[in-house]
Amino acid sequence: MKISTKWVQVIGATAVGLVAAANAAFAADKVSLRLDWVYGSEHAPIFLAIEKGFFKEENIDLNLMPGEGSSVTVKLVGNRDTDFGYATADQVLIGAQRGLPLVATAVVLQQNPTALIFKASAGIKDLKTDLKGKTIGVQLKSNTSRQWEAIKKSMGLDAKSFTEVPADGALVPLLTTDRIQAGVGFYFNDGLKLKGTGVDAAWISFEDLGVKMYSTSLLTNAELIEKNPDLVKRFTRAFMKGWSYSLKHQDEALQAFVKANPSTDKIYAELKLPEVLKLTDSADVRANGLGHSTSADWENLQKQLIEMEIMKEKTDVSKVFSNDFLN
Amino acid sequence: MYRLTVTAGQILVFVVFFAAWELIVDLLHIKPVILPAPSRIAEVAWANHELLLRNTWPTFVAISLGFLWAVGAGFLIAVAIAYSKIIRDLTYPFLVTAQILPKIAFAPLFLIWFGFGLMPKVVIAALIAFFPVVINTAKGLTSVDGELLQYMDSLGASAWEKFTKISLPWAMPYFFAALKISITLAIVGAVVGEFVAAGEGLGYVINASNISLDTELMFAAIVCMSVLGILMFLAIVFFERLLIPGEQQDGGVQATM
Repeated sequence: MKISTKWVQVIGATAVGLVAAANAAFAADKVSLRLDWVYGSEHAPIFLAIEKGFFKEENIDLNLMPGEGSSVTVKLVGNRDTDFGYATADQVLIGAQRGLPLVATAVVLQQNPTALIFKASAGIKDLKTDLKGKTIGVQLKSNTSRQWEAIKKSMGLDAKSFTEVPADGALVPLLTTDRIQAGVGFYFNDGLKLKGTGVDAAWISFEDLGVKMYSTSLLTNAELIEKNPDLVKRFTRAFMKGWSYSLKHQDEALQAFVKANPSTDKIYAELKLPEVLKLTDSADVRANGLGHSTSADWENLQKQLIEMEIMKEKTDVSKVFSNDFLN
Repeated sequence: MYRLTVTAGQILVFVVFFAAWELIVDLLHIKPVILPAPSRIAEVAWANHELLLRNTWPTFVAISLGFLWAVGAGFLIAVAIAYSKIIRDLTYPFLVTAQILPKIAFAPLFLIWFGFGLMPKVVIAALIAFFPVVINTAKGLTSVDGELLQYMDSLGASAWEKFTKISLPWAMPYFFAALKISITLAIVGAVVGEFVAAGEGLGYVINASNISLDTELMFAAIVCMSVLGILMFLAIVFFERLLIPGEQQDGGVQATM
């Protein structure tokens, strides 16, 4: 009896050891990543990281999925349906406040891409005087509309001097057909799409008007960090390597994206990528590296979201982001 | 007695459904942002009742107008189809094709075609609600007992008399069956319209609540919309009871679409 128990233990230990060894040698970690939106060249560095094998080097078998908006992505990560997500920082913060265990491990786009977009011929230079009599398309189902409200307030714009219309997801066709003279959206989406149609497009960035906000970030679930911090570290490293490599080799990133998405609008893709890459820059990033974020800027984001009434209550921002997984 | 038992049973089905929902959310500790419990939804609905009521009105207007357009136009076309073989033969394949077409997919374009505000919502609602009325009413008008019409002929009845005395009453159950389908489709249409082209209405509330991950408010708006839909459906049932003699009501007549 004693012997047999011992044998069982020996066999058991051997089996466990073999399985572990097999895992290390053959089976990579299967990891899923849900993006913020459908594939676009703003995701080119991720496609590049896949093509270059950055994830494989970290023994990660990546399952990449397109998204349906940041608000969906954060829910999926919060619910552990997806391991990692790529979503805007505001949604990460709101999701965390709503009880989802979310942690941003890298703030990739450091600047706010929201802008007032128009045809250059509209001649909008000074918002205080040049909007008079114009029709402005506002996307009421996106937080860009709340940012616009904040700007109207902070700049003291006379809202009666122009007309606002709902224009969700339709800024470009409405601008090209002159149904609206300006619209509030992401300049690397709507602004460049407009440019892609051959129109001389122009925009005024909200970042320049003082609405400084972290944008798209890499996030994961706090439970995964607790369970497997090493995986989070390896994943974040591979992910950010794609971005730092892309900053030096834009052409390669674009090619990787086009190769993976051959039906994409190449002109638009080519216009968009450099503009997106510019948004990765900030004083903090120059000092502390790509993807780095500071408590002060997260606090500032939270303050603005509360002022815009998007967020109802404060949350502890120190739990919502971490620089520990960046190299 | 049977009727009463059934009513009690029907209520019980709802009670069991909501109780199970409440229990599952509670037992699995599901976060409200993922799936709120019914009690939490009720709380939020009450806290926001002013906002919800304010946004119910534009949705009601859009549904009603879209529905009325659909019924008016659908009825006239159904009569034309029923009384003219050539119109029927020419238009029927087109109507069926248009019915199958996923019109909702065009919703974002309606913003560009029909402008902002009420119009795109009404057009989408009307377009979706239109086809069942045409097809069902035409079916009703053409399925009139031929012998009955011959009998009317032998009495020297005019075409108008035959239409108002025989065909129209004959088609009424079909017509009302279509209205009941149509109203639910008009609701879907109006809400889709509000998803893409509105700054007010329950569809807008549902979509806008996403900005702040307010799933509870989203559910509260869906509940509001359901109540609105049920009330509008019941209004049609009420008119049906008023206009059609008991033995002819629904039940026996199947909607053709």
